[in-house]
Amino acid sequence: MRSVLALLGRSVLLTAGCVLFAVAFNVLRPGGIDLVAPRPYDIYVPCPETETDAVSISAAQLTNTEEVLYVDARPEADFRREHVKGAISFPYPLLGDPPAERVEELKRRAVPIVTYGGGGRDRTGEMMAALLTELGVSGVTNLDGGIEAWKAQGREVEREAEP
Amino acid sequence: MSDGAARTPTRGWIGHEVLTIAARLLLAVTFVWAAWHKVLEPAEFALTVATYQILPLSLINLQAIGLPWVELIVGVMLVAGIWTRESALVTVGMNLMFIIAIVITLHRGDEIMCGCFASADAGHQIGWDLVLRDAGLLAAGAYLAWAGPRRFSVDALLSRRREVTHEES
Repeated sequence: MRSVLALLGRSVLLTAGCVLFAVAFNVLRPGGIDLVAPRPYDIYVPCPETETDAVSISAAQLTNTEEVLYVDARPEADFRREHVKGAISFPYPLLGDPPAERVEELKRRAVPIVTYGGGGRDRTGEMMAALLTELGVSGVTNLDGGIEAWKAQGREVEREAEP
Repeated sequence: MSDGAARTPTRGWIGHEVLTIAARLLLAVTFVWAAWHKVLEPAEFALTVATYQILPLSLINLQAIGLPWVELIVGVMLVAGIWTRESALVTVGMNLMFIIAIVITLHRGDEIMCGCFASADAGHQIGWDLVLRDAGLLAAGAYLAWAGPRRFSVDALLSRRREVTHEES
């Protein structure tokens, strides 16, 4: 029993040590955050529901890729890691409305738009297509299966580091 | 180092040798992977913590600052086998906390993104599969805390060295 308590004590000590280090690191690092949030966070629960159903297309059905604008709805870090060749990054706004000027920019482009997410459980592509359609952008289709389906078809992807 | 290290069993079922290494690697990879983005983007993680609506505002940032480093440091310690039992027990505590947070959220019926892997998982909604995943990790941590450090760990190395010194004296 004593050894169990001692083990528990050392575990608490380890946790406390890590937290102390974390706090010190946060103070010294650029971009550290306040120890106590100065105001409540602007959270959005549940995720914005769209009333329009997204139209989906499979990667195999996409033929004339030259005349399509691909919109990557995943977080920007994922976009930087890998994205459909020629795509633009427009992360799905999980916590609010999308920037109005970017939506207007998409409206002005007279090309079909194909949105995509990560595939699998990641439904950001589908949600983005529905959201853009609802906001008045025409010709928006979701790429069924996201970037994974795109790659499965052997289509080209690019990374930010590449020229 | 620790009592656990001193009592490192060298005999017994050979399966423990394999299982403890597997448990260490599983927990280490999971926690280091989960911590990485949160360490880099504490503000984003703080928002995720706030979205769960469980902690009071005064504790949200502290959680967002501290938790990723606990995950990262404990993950590294598990790989090396330093304070293996203690590190494993910390992962048990963290997984228990995650399970409670997810169950509370599921019970309330909120649909929020799972902040476990922050933005890498954005768009994923939490569900019972996450509870199962964390329960599996909790079991691995509990097993490791019970079985203690075995081969290929700093704990075992130090324990052996102590035994040799003891025999020589």
